[in-house]
Amino acid sequence: MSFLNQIPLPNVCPVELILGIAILNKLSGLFGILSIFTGHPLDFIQWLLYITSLLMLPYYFLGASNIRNPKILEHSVILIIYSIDTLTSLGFILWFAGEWFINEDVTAEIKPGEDYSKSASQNYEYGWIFLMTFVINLSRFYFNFILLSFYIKLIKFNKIQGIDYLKIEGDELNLKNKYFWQRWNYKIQIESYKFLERTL
Amino acid sequence: MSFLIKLFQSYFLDERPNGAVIADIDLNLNPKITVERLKNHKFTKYEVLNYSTLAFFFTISFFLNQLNIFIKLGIVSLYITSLLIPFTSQFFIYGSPVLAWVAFLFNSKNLDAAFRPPISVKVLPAIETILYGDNLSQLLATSTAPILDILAWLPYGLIHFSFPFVTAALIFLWGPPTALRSFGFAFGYMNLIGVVTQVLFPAAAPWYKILHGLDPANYSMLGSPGGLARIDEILGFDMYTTAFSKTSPVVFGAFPSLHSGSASMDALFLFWLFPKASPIILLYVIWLWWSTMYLTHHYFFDLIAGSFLSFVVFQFTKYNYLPVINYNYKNRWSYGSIIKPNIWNSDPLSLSPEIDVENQVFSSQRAINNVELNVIQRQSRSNIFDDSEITSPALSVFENDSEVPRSFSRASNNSQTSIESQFDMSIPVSASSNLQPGGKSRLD
Repeated sequence: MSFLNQIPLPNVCPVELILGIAILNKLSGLFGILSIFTGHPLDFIQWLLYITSLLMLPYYFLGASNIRNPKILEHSVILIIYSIDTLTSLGFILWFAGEWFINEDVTAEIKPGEDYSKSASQNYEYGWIFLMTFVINLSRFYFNFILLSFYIKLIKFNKIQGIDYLKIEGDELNLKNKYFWQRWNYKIQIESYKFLERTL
Repeated sequence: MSFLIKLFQSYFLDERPNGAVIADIDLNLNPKITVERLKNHKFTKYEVLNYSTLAFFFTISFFLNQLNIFIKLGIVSLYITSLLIPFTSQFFIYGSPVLAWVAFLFNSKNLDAAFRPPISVKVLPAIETILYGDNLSQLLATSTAPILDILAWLPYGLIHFSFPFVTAALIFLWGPPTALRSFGFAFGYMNLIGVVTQVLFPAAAPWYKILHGLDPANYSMLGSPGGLARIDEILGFDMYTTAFSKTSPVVFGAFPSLHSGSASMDALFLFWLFPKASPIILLYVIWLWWSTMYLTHHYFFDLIAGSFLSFVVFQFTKYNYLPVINYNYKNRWSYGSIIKPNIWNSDPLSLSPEIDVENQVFSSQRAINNVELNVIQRQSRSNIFDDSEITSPALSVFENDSEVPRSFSRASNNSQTSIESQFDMSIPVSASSNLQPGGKSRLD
């Protein structure tokens, strides 16, 4: 694995970074939901964004904490969740960009006698807004491909090592004695793995 | 006093390998030793890049500073003296990125407005809404209460300033020797990059939108304490209002948040040092994030940018400079040697034959001399027929890996591994002064 085909890096480094950034971003859901206590009104789309952000957090945490011992089942869920997140984020961005430009953005009045020589022009402001949004989204897609590449390498690595991860992890879990959310988590992992096996 | 020394010896030194010097502190005050070390030191390209960068920012700060020239020259002389005296240089050399950041932060306000970029007031609130669905700072500051003000003030106004020192002390005492250098490097450069970004991309904080809406800004505008003004009311004296309104070094420096960056850097080093305490440390970062937004000093996007910057700088430092930690060791004095990081050893998908990292000993002559922060006067004989004594330069955090020959030997906590194994493997050995009769520099 290499960064932009230039700087060689071990597989794990970019994935560690991507999961770390994902965790930082998804913590936004926590602060959004605090509006329950502050009384700030939220609409349905905002609730959806914040709740889904929080739901993704445990998987990213799990992936990041086990990064030295990556497991295929965990990373199959992470890959699917991250991909869904990448695609849905486009929708969220379009929606909230509309919200900003229609409801929030205002054109400031030019007051006589004020010094505007070092004030950002409208073009400067919009240029940065579009550039940042574009670069962040482009990075997301790039990160998504890195996660995909890592997952494929993980599969190959396990095959070469002769590890039957489905059997091992199933035995280790001993699902009957686990909490319901652990059973559900395992089911989600198995379904994600099967889906990726069919798709890739 | 003797009780404290006994306590120190019973707790910190009880695991110390015989003859180990790597954790010791250099108590020498003779500047000639530093000059000798400097003469014998071969600078790597990374060291040249590092010191050139620091010199650049110190020079800019010197010329931007408006103090009397003699006072400025006095400060520079003090700094150079601190670099020359071995006892102080062990701290000041590796703390220089932090000093460069502080110098540039407080002098950057004197940059002529004509050379500064235009101030953005819309980019941050717009990006915040587009990426995170709302202005989260506004969302959290919708309702305020005195108890919340105090709760926000604690991490933002108090803990934030002391936590890096606490972290540094913890790393020094419980991390492997030389780890503190990495913290100085990472913490300093993260903040330096942050301030440069703030100067190149000036942007207004949430308090600006509350006071002025989205009206255009200019450099003659005063700053604002935001929610900290309520703390002044609660405490009954002007702690923040004047400081933020009139003497703030970077009024339009919302992006990135260096409060978030610093807290994240502290947290990342503490995650590395005490992994079991990670949840509590993470809670501190979340607490600080909430406080900065509640006090209307930063948007969430600024916080993410600060943490992201810290994360990148930390990862770079971890895989290039930070010595490998051994969680079975009690404290820094338990180490008989240090292991430099190897990014390729961290790859769980590597199919190459495994390297026994546990036994990978840092055992070159330079490594033996690598007592924390330049320690001890190291007298060595490169040749048994050579009577002349030379002083070896210390290993720098910027030292090129290729210059450090590595050997594989038994590394046991209670053996004299790094010294004795050299004899076994016929590698040129240096004996530090404190292993010889009359050595004066040992802390114990």
